[in-house]
Amino acid sequence: MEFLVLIVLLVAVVGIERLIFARHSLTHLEYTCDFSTDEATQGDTISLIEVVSNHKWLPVPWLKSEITTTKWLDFAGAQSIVTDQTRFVPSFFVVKSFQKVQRVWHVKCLKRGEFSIQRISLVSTDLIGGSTLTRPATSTSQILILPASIDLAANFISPKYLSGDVLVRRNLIADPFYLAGVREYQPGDSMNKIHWSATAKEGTLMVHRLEYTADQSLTVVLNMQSRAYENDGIIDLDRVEYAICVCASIFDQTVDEQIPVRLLANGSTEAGRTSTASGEYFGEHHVMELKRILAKLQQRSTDDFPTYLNDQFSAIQTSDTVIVTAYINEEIASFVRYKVQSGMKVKIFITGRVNSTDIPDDLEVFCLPELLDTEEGIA
Amino acid sequence: MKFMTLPRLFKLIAMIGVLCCCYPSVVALSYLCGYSRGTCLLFFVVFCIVGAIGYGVQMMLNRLQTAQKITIVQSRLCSIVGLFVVLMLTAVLLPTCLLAFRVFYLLILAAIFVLSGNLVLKHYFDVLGWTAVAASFGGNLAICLLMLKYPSASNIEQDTQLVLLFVAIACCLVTNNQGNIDYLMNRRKHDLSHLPQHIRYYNLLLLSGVFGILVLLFALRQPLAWLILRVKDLLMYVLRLLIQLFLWFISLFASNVVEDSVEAEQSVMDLGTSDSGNTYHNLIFIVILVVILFLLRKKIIGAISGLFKKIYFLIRDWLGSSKLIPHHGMQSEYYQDHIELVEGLTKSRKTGQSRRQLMRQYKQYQKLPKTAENFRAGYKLAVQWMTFLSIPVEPCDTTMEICSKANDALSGQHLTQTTTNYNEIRYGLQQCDQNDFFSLDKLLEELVNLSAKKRKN
Repeated sequence: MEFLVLIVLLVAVVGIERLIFARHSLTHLEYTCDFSTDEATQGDTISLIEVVSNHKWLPVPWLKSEITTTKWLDFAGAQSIVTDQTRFVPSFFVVKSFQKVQRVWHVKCLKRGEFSIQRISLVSTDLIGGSTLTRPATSTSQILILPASIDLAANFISPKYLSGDVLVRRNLIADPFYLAGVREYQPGDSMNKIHWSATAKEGTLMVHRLEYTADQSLTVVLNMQSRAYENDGIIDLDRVEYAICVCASIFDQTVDEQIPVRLLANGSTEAGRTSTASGEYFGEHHVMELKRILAKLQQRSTDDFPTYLNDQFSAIQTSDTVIVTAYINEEIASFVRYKVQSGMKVKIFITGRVNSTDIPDDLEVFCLPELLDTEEGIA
Repeated sequence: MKFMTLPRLFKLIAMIGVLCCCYPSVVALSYLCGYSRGTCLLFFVVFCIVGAIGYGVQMMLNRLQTAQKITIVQSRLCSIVGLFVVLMLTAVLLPTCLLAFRVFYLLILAAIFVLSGNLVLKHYFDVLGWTAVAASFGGNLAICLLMLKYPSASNIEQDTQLVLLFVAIACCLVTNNQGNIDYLMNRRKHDLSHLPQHIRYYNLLLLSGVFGILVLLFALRQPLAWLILRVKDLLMYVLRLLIQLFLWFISLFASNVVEDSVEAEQSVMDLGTSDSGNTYHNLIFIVILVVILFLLRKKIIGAISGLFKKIYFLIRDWLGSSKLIPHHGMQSEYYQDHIELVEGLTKSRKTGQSRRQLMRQYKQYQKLPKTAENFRAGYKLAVQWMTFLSIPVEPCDTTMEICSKANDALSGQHLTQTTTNYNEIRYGLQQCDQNDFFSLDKLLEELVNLSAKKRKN
């Protein structure tokens, strides 16, 4: 009789246990997964916060959340599984009755871009293993990783050190607001320029010496092609990514000097084939907006770069222009020459491998020393 | 290097379980050969030793290539000593037995030796399963039947069998629980080292609770049986009363039509006896009680749950105030846990109103005429449905904020149109027409469908 009772009790206890866990294990269980911030810079360490709250009596003896996100958000180290573009991170919890567990992962932002948590699935089980329960969880959390700035002076060199006299631009009319000192009166100077105190002191007519200024503004033109003949997809992705970082650094440099700056790129921030052109403003907010555009740029080009430059020829009217590209060819050089001849100051930053013989002597070109091939070898 | 790793420990537990499951067969064997209770236990001990030796020898053989020579020598010596002990025990136990039994006994020993060795190569959760436990139950039941048929067999000790059966069940629970964790980890090829160790311990703790309930229920089987019988009597009593009431009710009509029906008169007479008043009172009381209990079931369950919750938190308080303060849980190389207590989700906090109440309001709304006032009522109902669906709508939200919050969960077309219409009617003081109600009706329909899906999930 005892054996029969024991059989009945065993079947009842095991059956009820399975039933309870199967029905209630994932009910009244709240799960959220969010980034600690919605914007960060490449190289920053941010937090990914998972919160599991169990609002019921029944404990959850084993809970796994599988987070699927981009591989460019580096966290969980060896615990994560990385495939082509995706990172799977399993996270194991035990949640007691009326308990909240907050797990903070330390995430390193490896690359610029707009990322989100693609998918989360929760898996739980009962104590004896009769049932496996699965529930998808949603997370709307997104993060925008801005490109990091680099030290341009330390990283780039100019292979052609110019010597001798250099032509400089000078406006015809001096700026009355910029005083550089005093000088003697010369015929032709207007009367309102006379510095009366200095005249009295020197005993001869003295006038203000004025500076010649011009409205400085900058256009940064980014080439999203890594090679001259390249379709939509980028071949040397890291070179183009580096070019984006160079652009971010240039933007940062304009903040202190309050130079109006704009960005042109033969890349798109959306799915279409519309190239990117920003407005021309100055200040920290504008630079942040430009960096956001850089962060959102898709990894493909919308147009062939020389064609794009020719299309934008009349649109580029600023005092200075910087072209950031992974390569240089004769078409790009011709465009730059036209612009220089029209009085514009143009610099070219090359982020890809380049031969010193390919660099035009008459242009201001900067390249990475480790990627510069000279006749003697790498510079 | 740690000798007793967790898989080894669980394999040992599984082996103990297997041996406990084998006990009924040992009992049956020894009884059939006419051995005493003590000899039966000795047989069991011998089987255990042979099993352990077989396991040990196979394990050492597997390690031959990597183990040091001294380990191999030790293992061989142990095997020889163990076998010698077994043979001595056999010599002591079997001098009076038939030759056929001696041969049979030695064959069983050999089988145990080989099978135990094979277990080395198996994963621990493959060693002991519910099949083995069920076979053990079958064996024990067969012995019980044997005892019924042959009274002389009543000297077989059942307590030992029960204890060993409980041990087998406990071992099976442990290996199944831990094996399930391993299986879930291996299924997605997760490294077991990434599993926080406290998950295993907490699972074992919960499992011990389940096993404790089983033991408690078994220990209290007699009071429980008494209780079940009383409940059964009560139910039978209620059923009898209901039948009597039904017969009495039928007889009221039957007496007018069939006047000469003796049975009907008899039943009426039965019901009209002196204790029929008490019967009806009891019946009415029980029915009222059942109805009240049914209607107030949620409140009663809520009150009991609340009471237990208070006790639970009080115990936590009492156990240590530090546990109430949020504290750091497990720390890993990659993450940090932070643990705190939470309250349960109350009805008002989560939903505001139950689905049934909202459905009732929805049906009432559908019957209302299409006026501006009712459009506003419909919009309010839609917002209540959103709250029910856990869309984080706050009382301070504007209509546009509500629209943007609900936009992810709902198809935006009807929601946006309804919001625009509501703003025009509510703030622009415009009159509404059938077209305005179309988008609102569609929105409500969508919300009701969503809640139905949520309920199914």
